[in-house]
Amino acid sequence: MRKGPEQAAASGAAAHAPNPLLEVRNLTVRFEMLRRTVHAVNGVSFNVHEGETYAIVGESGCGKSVTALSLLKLLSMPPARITDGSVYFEGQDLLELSETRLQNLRGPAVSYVFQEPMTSLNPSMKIGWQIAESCAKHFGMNREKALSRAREVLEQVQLPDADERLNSYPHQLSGGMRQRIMIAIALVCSPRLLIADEPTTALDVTIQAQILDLLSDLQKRTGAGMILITHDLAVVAEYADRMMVMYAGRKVEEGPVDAILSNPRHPYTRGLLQAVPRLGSSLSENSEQSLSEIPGIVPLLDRPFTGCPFAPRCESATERCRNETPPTVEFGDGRLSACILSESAGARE
Amino acid sequence: MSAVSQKFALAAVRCAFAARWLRQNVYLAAGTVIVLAFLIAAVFGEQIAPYGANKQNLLNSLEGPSAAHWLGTDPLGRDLLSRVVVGTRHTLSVAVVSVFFSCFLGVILGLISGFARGHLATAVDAIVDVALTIPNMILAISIAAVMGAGLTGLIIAISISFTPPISRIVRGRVLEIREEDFISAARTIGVRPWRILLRHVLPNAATVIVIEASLQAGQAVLTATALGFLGLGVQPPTPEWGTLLGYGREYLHSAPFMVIAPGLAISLMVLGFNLLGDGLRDLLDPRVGN
Repeated sequence: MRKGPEQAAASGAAAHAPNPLLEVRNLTVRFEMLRRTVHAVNGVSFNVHEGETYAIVGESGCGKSVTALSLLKLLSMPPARITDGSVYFEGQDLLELSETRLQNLRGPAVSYVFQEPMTSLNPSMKIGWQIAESCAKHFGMNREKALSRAREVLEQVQLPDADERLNSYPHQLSGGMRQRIMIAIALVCSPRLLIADEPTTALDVTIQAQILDLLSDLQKRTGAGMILITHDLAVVAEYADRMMVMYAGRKVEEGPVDAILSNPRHPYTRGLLQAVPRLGSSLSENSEQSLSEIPGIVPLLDRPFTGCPFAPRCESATERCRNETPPTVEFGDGRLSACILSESAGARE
Repeated sequence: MSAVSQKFALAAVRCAFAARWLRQNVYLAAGTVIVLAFLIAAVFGEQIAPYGANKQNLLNSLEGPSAAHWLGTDPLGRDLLSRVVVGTRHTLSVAVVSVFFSCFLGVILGLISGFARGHLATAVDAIVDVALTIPNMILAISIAAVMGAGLTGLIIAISISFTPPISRIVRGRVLEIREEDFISAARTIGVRPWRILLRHVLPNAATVIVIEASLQAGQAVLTATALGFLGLGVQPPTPEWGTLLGYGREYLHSAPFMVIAPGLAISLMVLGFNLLGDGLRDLLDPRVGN
């Protein structure tokens, strides 16, 4: 599926709907190790609506995956600890639920597709049962019923020879096929929210497009919400409705994809966009369309810092940026940017 | 190429593959043959043995190996070959039954200490750690001494003394598997922990358990016969190998064939189990590449 203008409009409307499917408020996650504490996610808030694709973008280690895994408390705790925040899914706070209640939600309510299809399947279990296990457990289906449901889903993910595949082991399948199996496992219980954590990173480019088309097509059919975690801005432009840019465990910018990609407000987002190679762009520094990098490195997250986390790498940083925590500035139409410099351009939240 | 010659070429390739497989699996084949042979002897001992195991013939007392008595006779004129063949049942059953129990117990403890977190895992770890510091033989002797000599005592002694090493090996494998992506994937679809343990962790640890069990069986034979040798095993006149060995020791100078007969049988059986274990490891363990 390609995102058409009607759908963009629909998602714009969804952004103002009163009850989001998922509402994350001030999520804060720490990893408490023996000698140090890593501040992995710091006060992140966002909403995802039904039928919407919400992208979380950022470089490696910025807290994208940790954010996604904390929603259903799937991090191993300890060392991880969710120190603050709430995650409302259809009105109930997931972080308050018992482990047993959460287990009942994992699968039918929220499910995940991981980036490593090669290692995310049990090598000693037949594909059919790996898919069927979830609905057998959650819907109390018997073996035959669950397997016939698995067969149905295999057809939905467009894997040929479904009957034969049910009896295959993972090593008999290619990477693309395995990722389809992973998607089938995630979809077998018809989840209302699908979290795809870099679902195509391990696949080659032609397969990537197929898998993403499949995901967004299935999402459109079921009306589920989707969180798409990626560092590929081209994927975001193609498939997502709204996006959040994360840096050092914080949300630095949020808004409709088209608006952010055409007119980024935060210096980090601008840097990210300039770092994307385009056809015809030159690698020489003097050229007008040159490919640029963001100087410096991501700050270590093992101590709380004051000021803007991006300030050390920001071209336009001032003394204020280094000493004051940047406010979240609202621009209307659902756009937010956490930058002192955009204060004059928008209204403070 | 014609269809017929193609068929022949295919058959030749298949033969070559089979031959290579056999060459690579000599250990496995040899181990299987030896263990199978002992298994047959254990089941059909009385039928195979040329004489009755306890049939005395004082006229033939302490005869060396001959055409009539291949391995010689003991002071009561009993045929040693028959005694060894019939005795296979006792030694083999002690080894197999006690390895079964020690695997059962060891796998449970290993799964707990590898998968659970908190006090339970710590407690199991501590017990296993302490048990590992006691030499196998000493532990077995003390347990057999407390339980009294006999088959039950022997089996309990070997089962308990072989549990800690198996538990350790299972624990190591579980710790490895626990970090695999497919375990996290199972958690994300709401599979409960005990189910993850039984359906996702255990089957992937099975290889290690099977290999370890067959290697342990060889060790169990040694321990069982050693306990029999010390008089803590099955009591005479039952022809258990260790007991035969202990009895033969008294005649070591005058009739060395009395210890050679059971000694050979013990060595051969241990060799069989070890070859089987090594062969299985080559075949099943992906980390041991060709």
